[in-house]
Parts: sequence; structure tokens; C-alpha cells
Amino acid sequence: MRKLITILGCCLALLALPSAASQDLYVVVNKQNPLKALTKQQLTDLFMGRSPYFPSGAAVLKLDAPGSSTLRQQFYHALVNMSLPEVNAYWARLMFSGRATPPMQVASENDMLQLISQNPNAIGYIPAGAMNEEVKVLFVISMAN
Amino acid sequence: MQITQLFRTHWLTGILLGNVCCIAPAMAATIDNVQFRGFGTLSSAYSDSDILGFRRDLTQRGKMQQWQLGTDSVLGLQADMQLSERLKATVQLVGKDRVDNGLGESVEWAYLSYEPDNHWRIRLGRVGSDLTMIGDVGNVGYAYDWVRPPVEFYGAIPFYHFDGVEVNYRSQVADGYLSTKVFFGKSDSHFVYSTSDSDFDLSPFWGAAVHFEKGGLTFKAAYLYTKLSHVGNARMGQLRDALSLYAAYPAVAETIEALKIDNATQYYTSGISYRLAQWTWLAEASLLDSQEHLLPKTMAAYTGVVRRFDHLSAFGLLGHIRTLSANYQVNPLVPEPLFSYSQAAFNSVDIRQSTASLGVRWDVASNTALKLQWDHSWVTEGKAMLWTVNDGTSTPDEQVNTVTLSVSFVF
Repeated sequence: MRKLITILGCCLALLALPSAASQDLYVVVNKQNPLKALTKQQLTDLFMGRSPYFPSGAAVLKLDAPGSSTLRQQFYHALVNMSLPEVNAYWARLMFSGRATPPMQVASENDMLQLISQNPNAIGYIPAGAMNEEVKVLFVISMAN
Repeated sequence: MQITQLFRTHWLTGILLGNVCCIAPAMAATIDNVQFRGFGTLSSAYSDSDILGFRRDLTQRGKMQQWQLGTDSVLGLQADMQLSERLKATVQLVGKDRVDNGLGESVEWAYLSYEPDNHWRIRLGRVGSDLTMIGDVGNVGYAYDWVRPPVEFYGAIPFYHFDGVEVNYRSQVADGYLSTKVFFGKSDSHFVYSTSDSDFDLSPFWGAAVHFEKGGLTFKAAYLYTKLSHVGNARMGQLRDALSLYAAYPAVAETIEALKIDNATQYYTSGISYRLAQWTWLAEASLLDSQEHLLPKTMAAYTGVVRRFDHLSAFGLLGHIRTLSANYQVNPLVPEPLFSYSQAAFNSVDIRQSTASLGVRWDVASNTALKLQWDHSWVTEGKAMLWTVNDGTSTPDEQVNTVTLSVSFVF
């Protein structure tokens, strides 16, 4: 019974996520990742194709929220003040000049957390309310506008 | 009719399209370590002059007062293979309306890329020659707001790649991101002039470029040193052969000498873009420094303003290009008809024009953008090299309107 309530509680929490638009965003990596923190510049360099690796030189698997999701829109608006069409055009420029590989878009926001939990190289972003114990926060994007 | 013509003569486009339809559902998926991506533009342009045929750049043949699909329509496929953690291979094939459309031309690039850390990158093979703001993504309509790279600035330099090596160093400078590179190799192209076509090699092809980004500011500058060689031009060959029969005349010998392209060409370009809130202002300027009479010293520049409204952007552009050296005047002692043919050859490389453009880009879906652009061009008498003209005619001052509707997508 307790398990059922926990599961229901988790489901409700996950369902509630998309509408919690005023929550901060957490940039997270796997708990096993040796990185302790990221500056905004380093985060921008990673997600805008300027750094192919973590600042330490380690390989990185960059994850992006689904294409037109509010989460993705909020992330790039806060990071570089660009709309999604501009971000898409920007990445097309980098991708088709072979200069950088864009972050991999996950199928759903739940997948983001799952992939990071399973992969020590992965980095992504989630709404603050979706934190779990497998990941740790490297950077907080404040949504207070 | 034009679509079938495009596919019939450009079989590669047909094959690529066929493959796209078959494997589209799995397109963005990773097959082992290979990622397939692609881009395309379907565009139709109409130009209202009956003397000047509009074209996007010197590799095309323009048409007069007809809707043209071939001007900007393109389909590209790219495969990226991660061979090891630091080593990647990339191949890009592009099908479009080129005069020469063999497989060699259709491979836009094919190179190995080695990135040992966050600072260094070395690329070897057929690499994009990214010297300008639009750089090597001119074929990717989705990547920029206009329907095509501004013709005054980009039309006379349609080289997107070279075969060689490029070394790039990235660093943080003054709180901004700085990328510097040097490159060396060779390139080639095929130009269509009003009186003839011309194949040529660009060898050597070397130079350096910098790229700086900080906040809303982007700055790029580049230098290129190259030499035209193996210039294969049937008409010019005939003219030289005819002239050489009279090489004993000093005037004719002088003309034969003036028709040669021996010396190096240097190209200097810089561009700046500044974004503040929903506005972007940008400008680019370049100088082609050449001592040859058939490749005159040329200056080109354009500026633009963009206002973004989330999924819509509206823009205005103003461009200008002109040759800076006066036309070579053939010695009047050269006998006819060689005098007229020679003078026509020197006149045909002259350019002076301006274009004002207004347009909108609408991102109708993620990864698809619709664009509408109107261009108004002022072309000076006798200086219409960027256009296709009827053979032998000398053009008057002309104003031309061009309307383009296009849809660009990536997948």
C-alpha cells in the first residue's frame, strides 16, 4: 500500500512538472561525475558548441529537452536569451559546418533524468522539483523574472 | 516542368531524395557511431528584367522573367562518424543546380576531425572554408534569415570548401570566446561568364581567420592567399590562339600578356554582428586584391538589420559591389575583329551594382522555416558580371526586382 502511494505520489509530481513554469532549473550530472561546479560561461560553451568536452577534458554526453518543450525554451532563454527558432538556426549552422555536435534531444523529460542516472558522462537540465538521488546539481538557473 | 528537369539532370538529387524517403523515420537515430542529418531548401525566384538573368552566384546560369527553382533549391545529407573519442569523420553531399554536377562536385566535404582537448582541433580532407559570417553554411538555408547569402558579397566568391588541412585553436579571451585558425590546401571552381564558361584551380589556397564572440557581439575576420591556375576556358583559349597568330605585333603581344592570370590573389574579409534584445545589426566588407586585368580588384560590402518576434523575423539588407580598377583598354592597333573580342573579354568581368532587400522568415514548425524576400537591384551600365546576359550584348543601366519564396528545413 505504501509503495502504491509512493508511486502515485511520484507520478503526480512528474505530471505536475510541465505546469510548474516558475521553478528554477537545475543543470545536473551523474553523482559519480568528478566535476564539482560549472560557471555560466562553461555551461554556455558546452551547450552552444564551443567546448566539445568538460572543462577537465573528459568526454561529455550533452542532453537537451524535447524540441519544442517549454523546458528547452526556458533553458536557452535563460542561458543565451535566444528563442527556440534562433537556437535551432544557430545549431544548424554549427552542425552543418561540422564544427560541433548538438546536444541529444531526449524523447521526454522523464528520459533526461533516467539517462543522466545511467551515464556518468551525461549532462542535462531539469526543473528543480524533479531532483532525485542519482544526480547532483552543478548550476542553478534562476527563473525569477 | 522545372522540377523534373532539375531531377533528371541531377541524378544525385533524385537518389538522395529517394534515400531520404526510405530512411527518414530513422534519420536522427544513431546507427552504431554514425549520425545522419540533412538539410534542404525548395525555393522559387522570379526576376523581372528581360536583359539581366538573375543568379545567386557565378556558378549558375540565370534566367530572365521566369520562375527559377534551381537558384536556391538544394538538398544535403551529412554523415558524422565518431571513430574514437577524439577522432571524427564527416561527409556531406549536396545536390543542387550546378553547371558541373559530378560526384566530385557534389561532395561538399569529407574530412577527419581530431579534437584532443577543448582548445585544439585539426581537420584534414575536404574542409569548409569558413571565412565569412555565413561561412561554409551558405547551402543551409535554415541556418540564416535571408533566402540566400547576399549576392553582392557572396555571389562572386562561391567557394565553400578546399582540400587540405586546417588547424584551429579556441580560448577564452577578455570574457569572450576566441577561435583562431590557419589553413592550407587547394580548391577549384567553375564560373559562368556571359561570353564563356571557365574552370579553374585555386592552388595554393591558404590563409588565417579569427572568430570572436562575447555576449551579443560576434566578429570575424579572414585572409586568403591563392593563385588561379589551369584556367580552362574554351572561348578564351580560341581568342589566345587567334591572337598568337599575330604575336609579332607589339600591340597584340601586349594584349596576350594582359589576358594572362599569373599573379596571386589576396582576399581580405571581415564581418560583425551585434544583437541587443530582439534586434540584430550586422555588416560585412571584403576586398579582393588582384593585379590581373581579367580578375579585377573588387570591393564588396553589405549591412542588415533584423527584428525578431519569437517565431517570425523581419529583415532589411543593403549590399554593394564594385570593381576598383578601370577596365583594361585594348590597344587600338590590334586588328579587328580581335580588338572587339578582346575588349569584350575585359569588359565582361566588370561589376558595379547595389541591392536593397526586404524580407521575412517565419519558423512555421521546429526545423522548418518559410521565407519571402524582395530584392531591388541597381546595376550599372556594362557592369553586370553577376547576371547572365545575352551573349555579346552590352547592358544599359538597369533596375531589377527579384521576388523569392522559399522553404528551408533540417532533419
